[in-house]
Amino acid sequence: MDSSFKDPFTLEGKKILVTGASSGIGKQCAVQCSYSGANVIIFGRDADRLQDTFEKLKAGDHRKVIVDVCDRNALDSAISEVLQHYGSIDGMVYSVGLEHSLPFNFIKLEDYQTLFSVNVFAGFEICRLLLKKRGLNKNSSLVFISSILSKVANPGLVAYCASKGAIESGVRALALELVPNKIRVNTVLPGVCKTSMTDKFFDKLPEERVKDIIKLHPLGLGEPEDIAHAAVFLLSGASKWITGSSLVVDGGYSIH
Amino acid sequence: MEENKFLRNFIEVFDEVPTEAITMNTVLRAIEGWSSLVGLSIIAMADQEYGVEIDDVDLRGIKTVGELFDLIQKKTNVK
Repeated sequence: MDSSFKDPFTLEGKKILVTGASSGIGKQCAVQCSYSGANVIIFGRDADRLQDTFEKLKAGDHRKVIVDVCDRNALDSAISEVLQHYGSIDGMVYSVGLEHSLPFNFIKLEDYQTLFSVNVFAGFEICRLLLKKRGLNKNSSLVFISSILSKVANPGLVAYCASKGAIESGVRALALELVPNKIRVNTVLPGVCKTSMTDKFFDKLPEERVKDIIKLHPLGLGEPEDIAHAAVFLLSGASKWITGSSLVVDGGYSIH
Repeated sequence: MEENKFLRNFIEVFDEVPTEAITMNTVLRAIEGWSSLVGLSIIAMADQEYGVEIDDVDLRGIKTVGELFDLIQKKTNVK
């Protein structure tokens, strides 16, 4: 066996920031990054749940920061704190997301503002702060967890779909802009995964509609680990020729 | 909670249902244009107009407009 062979999928030696790590997909991304060899910094709002994620990480030089990513000052301090400890980092997974099922007639301007603040603006602001503070190493990779609903529509989700579409357009532009910095930027587009956010979404829908949604996923509903594996791939050197792309991980939902 | 105001809020959920077609005795699922999106609209109306959270399990247990009125009223009083 060639002893110079290096596993391109490893995150060994990398420092990765995972936001929205208190639950669901973000939590699983943090755990998977640690098992793939990374030192992980986890951001989340809920102290207890963030602690639970922290305890599930494989041993390493990890850190957790309780922060609301929509609070600009707190976000600035949190990133400074991270960079003080690590110097610079090698990537980020932005997995903060709000779900909002509301028929179009009931969506108020504030609903769009809240959704875009959380789903879109905060993610780009983190990138800006990391760049401004020279906190991203060359060959860094930024991964935004978007949604297959940025491509495939669903009634009652106009604001949500719009916000997820905004991430993707923004990511493509950012990817081009960061080419000179040798930083890659991509999105993952999950279908419906078994998370507490999905439970909340399903609670509002009639049973038959829930069954229909499940049926629309030929491989069934996803697990958070299905998305985490895709995120790790995009963070790793194995994806070094991929930027500005949207990786569909949806159990076949969008084949139809 | 006032009955007429509630009926007006309820009717607004539907695009093309004539006002006089809906009374407290109307069966929800018999209304023309009833769909899962209408269900979502009713959940949103209860939240925005009355600050009350109902979900699909609540809706499933309800047959008529009057029963919906009663449920929202009950939940308003509990608050």
